[in-house]
Amino acid sequence: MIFSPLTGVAINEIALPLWAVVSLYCVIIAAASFTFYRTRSWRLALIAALVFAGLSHAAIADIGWAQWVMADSKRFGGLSEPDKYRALERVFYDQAMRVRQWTARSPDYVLISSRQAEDFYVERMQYHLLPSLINTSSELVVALDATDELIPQDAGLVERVSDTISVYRRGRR
Amino acid sequence: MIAVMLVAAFALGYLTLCAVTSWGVYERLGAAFALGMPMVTMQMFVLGWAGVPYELTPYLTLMAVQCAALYGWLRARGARVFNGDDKAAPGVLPLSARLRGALAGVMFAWVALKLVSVFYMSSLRPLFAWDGWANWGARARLFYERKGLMLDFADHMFARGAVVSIPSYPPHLPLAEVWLYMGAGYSATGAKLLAPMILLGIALHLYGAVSKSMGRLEALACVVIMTGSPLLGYHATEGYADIWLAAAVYFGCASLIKSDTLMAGLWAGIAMWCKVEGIFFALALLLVLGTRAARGRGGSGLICATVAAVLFVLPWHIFRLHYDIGLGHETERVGLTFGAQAVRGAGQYYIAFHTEALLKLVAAMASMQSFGPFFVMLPFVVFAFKSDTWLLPMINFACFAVLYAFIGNWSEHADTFTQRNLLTLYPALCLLSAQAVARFIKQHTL
Repeated sequence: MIFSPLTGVAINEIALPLWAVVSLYCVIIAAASFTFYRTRSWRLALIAALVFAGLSHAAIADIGWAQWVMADSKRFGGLSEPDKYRALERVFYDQAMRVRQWTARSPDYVLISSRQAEDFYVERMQYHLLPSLINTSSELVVALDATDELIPQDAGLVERVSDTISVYRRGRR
Repeated sequence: MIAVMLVAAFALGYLTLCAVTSWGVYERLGAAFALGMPMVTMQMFVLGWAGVPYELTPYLTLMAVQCAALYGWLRARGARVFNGDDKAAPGVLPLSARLRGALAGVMFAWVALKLVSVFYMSSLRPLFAWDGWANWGARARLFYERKGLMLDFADHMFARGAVVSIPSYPPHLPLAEVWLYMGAGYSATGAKLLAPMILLGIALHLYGAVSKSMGRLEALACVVIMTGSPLLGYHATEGYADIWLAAAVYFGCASLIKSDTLMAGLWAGIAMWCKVEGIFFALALLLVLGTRAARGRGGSGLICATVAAVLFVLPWHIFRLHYDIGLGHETERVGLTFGAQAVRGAGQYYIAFHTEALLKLVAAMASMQSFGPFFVMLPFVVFAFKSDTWLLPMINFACFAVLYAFIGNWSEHADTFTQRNLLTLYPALCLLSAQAVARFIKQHTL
C-alpha cells in the first residue's frame, strides 16, 4: 500500500512513503536542470519541474487512491447501510440498536459511563440513539462501561444488552 | 429523488450565474452547485428560523419557482443560458496534433476515472470521519427528524448537546444534508454525495478556465495535478465542511481574476456561511480590494463586495447575536455522568508565540504530505510569476499562520489542523499558479 490503510476516522494528513518523496525531489531537479540547460530560462525550468513533479505525484498518489478504493470496495461494496456499520463497528452497532429500541420509546435518556466524555464509543452511542437526546431528568438510563457506584440508587435494570452496556429505568427499584 | 434535490440546487446556482456573470459554460457548470447549495441552505435557515418546518413540498416548490422565475427573466433578456464563450486557446506545448490528441485522451481518461472513483468511494462508507458524524451529521439528523432548527431553550436549543454539536459552527453543511434527506429520507451514506459534487465542480471550472488561456491538453494536465492530492480526494468523499470552504475560496479567487467583485464578495459571504474560518478569506478580500481602492482604482468594487458578503451571511450573524451564540470552538455536554474526568469544555484560548507550529508546517510541506510537491514549489512560483492576484490567498494563509503561531491551544494541533486549512487554499492556488504560468507563456512563446 502506498498510503496507510483508511481507518475511516478523521484524516488530517496523508504521508507519502520516503521512496516517493525522494523520487519526486529527483524529478524536480532533473526536469528543472534539463529545461534550464535547453532554454537558459529559469522560469521555464520552474514550470517544467512543477508540471513533471505534479504529474509524477498524481500518478503515485492515484495508485495509492486506487488501492484505497479497491480495499473499500471489497469491504463495503453491495452492503446495506446497517451492514456497513456492522463492518465498521462489529457488535457495537447491534448493541446500540438494541439500546435504541428503548430510547425510541422515550424522548430522552441519561448516559452514564466510566469512560471519558470524548471517548469514541460514548460518542458513537449518542449518535446511534439520535434523535433521542440526553436529559438529566430522564427516567431512562443507558450505562456504557459504568461502575456500579455510578448507577442511580433508584434505577432498576431493564435490559442487559452486553457485559458493558445496560439499560435501566429510574423508580423501578 | 436524491438526484432531484441535487439538480434543484445546481439549477438555482447555474441560473444565478447566468444572470450575474458572463462566465463560460464550463465555468458556470463548475461553480453552479457550490453556489446553489449555500443559496438553498441560507433560505432553509431563514425559513426554518421563521418556523417553516423542514418538509419537501414547500422547500422544493420554492426552489422550483425561483428557478422558473430566473429562467424566464433570462429568456426575456435574451441572455445566453446554455452557451457561452468557451473557445479553447491553442495549446502552448509544441506538440504534433496527433500526439496532442493522444495525450489529451490519456489525461481525460485519468481525470474521468479519478472523479468516478471519488463518487464511488463516497458511496461505500456511511459518515464515519469524526467531524462528519459527531458534529455536522448529528446536527443534520436532528434538524431533519425534528423538522426545524430546534429553537426551544428548554429542549437542546439549536441541537446543543447532540454528540459534539458546536453551536457557533454555521449550519450550512447540516442543512445541505437535511436538503438531501427531505428528498430521499435519512441516509448517512447518501449525505456524502455532496462532497464529490464540489470536487467535480472545481475540476470542471479549472478545466474551463485554463483551457481558455493554455489549451485543452494543458488544462487537463492541471486538473490531473490538482485532483492528485489524496487529502483533497479524501475530503471529497466525506461529510466535512473544509471542501465547501475550499470551493468558496477557489471561486472567490476566480471571480477576482475576472475583476468580478460582486461575485467575489458573494463567495466571501458563502465562505463565512460554510465554515468559521471563512472569515479569513473575507478579511483577505477586504484588504485586497481596500488596497486597490486606496490606489484609486476600484472603490466601487470594495463597496459591491462588502455589501454582497455582508448581506449573504447577515441572517446567520443576527441569529447568533439573538441567541447569544459565540464564535469560539465551545461544545456543550449536558446530562452526562462520568467516572473519569470529562476533559472537553469551554475553549481555553491563551496567547503565546509558538515557532514550533510554523516549523511543523514547513516540515509537512517539505515532506510532501497530502499535496505532493505543490507547496514545496509554490514559494518559487509566487516569486517567479509576481502578480497581485497572489495577495488574496497569501493574506488568507497569513491569517492561519498568525493563528497557529500565537494561539497556544491551536498550535498544539498544528500538525493536523494546518493541512486541513491548507486544503481550503489548495484548489485556488492551483488555479492561480496555472493562470500565472499562462500569462508568462503568452509573453514568452516556448
